[in-house]
Amino acid sequence: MSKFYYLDANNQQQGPVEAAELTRLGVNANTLVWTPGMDAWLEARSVPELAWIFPPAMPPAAPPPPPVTGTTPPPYQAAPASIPHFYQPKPDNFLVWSILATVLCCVPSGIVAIVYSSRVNSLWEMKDYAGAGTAAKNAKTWCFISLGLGIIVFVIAFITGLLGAISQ
Amino acid sequence: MVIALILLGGITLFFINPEQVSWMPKCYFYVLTGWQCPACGSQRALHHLLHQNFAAAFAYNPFLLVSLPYLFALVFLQWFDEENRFQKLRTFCHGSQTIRIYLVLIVLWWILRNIIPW
Ligand SMILES: [Zn+2]
Repeated sequence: MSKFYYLDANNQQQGPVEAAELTRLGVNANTLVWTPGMDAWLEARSVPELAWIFPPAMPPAAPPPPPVTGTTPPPYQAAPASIPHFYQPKPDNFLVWSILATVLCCVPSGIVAIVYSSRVNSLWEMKDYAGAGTAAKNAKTWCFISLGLGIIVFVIAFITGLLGAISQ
Repeated sequence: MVIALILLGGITLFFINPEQVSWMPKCYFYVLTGWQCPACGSQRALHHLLHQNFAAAFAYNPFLLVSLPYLFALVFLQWFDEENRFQKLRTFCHGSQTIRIYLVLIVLWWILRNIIPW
């Protein structure tokens, strides 16, 4: 479970503390909180990881059904049980790794990873949380491919170089 | 762990000139296609950079002028700023707009360096 920082009543940064501690320390749904991985400070109620403590604002309740006349049974109303997508935490975009691979290991396939990294953030900003998750997975995969390629090339170059040095 | 790897890489590149040893990694993209990738020359450039030889570093890979500060900021945010003291920098560096501009630059540089041999 990640630890959270929060701003107290005097706007001073406090923490880090466990999420479960937050309410005891006076944090409410409107308090600004932050945890590593978040781009910016957010109100506690808009942080997906804290949704179990501070439920996000729900749309206004539907008007009650009209009074029943006669013997018709009241229409069954399903409770809004489906969990909104923004309950998921923002996925890691692997940007550091993709640029490290591309720039330092000389593996152009790292560029594919950077493309996916940028899509993680743009899809997240567009509230396409499922899409952002998929993009994050792809970014991770391409980082591994690129770093793996870099290591394989390094090992091959090392061995051939060594053999060449010995044979001389 | 990450700090140790960075130090190890830095020390290796400081003491070893990639031009003079045969066992330093080669770019497979260059070997296979004969074209240079956006990062070709980075290790040689970093070697010269660590020896304060800025002109030589620039000659090997001028794109590092863009990449290194960005990479530096990203590494810092990832491993040295757990408390998020630099929130604005984080928002900027991870903004999709910033990443997109970086992508455009890197692809332009890739094409350009193969048209005008650098
Ligand atoms: Zn290369």
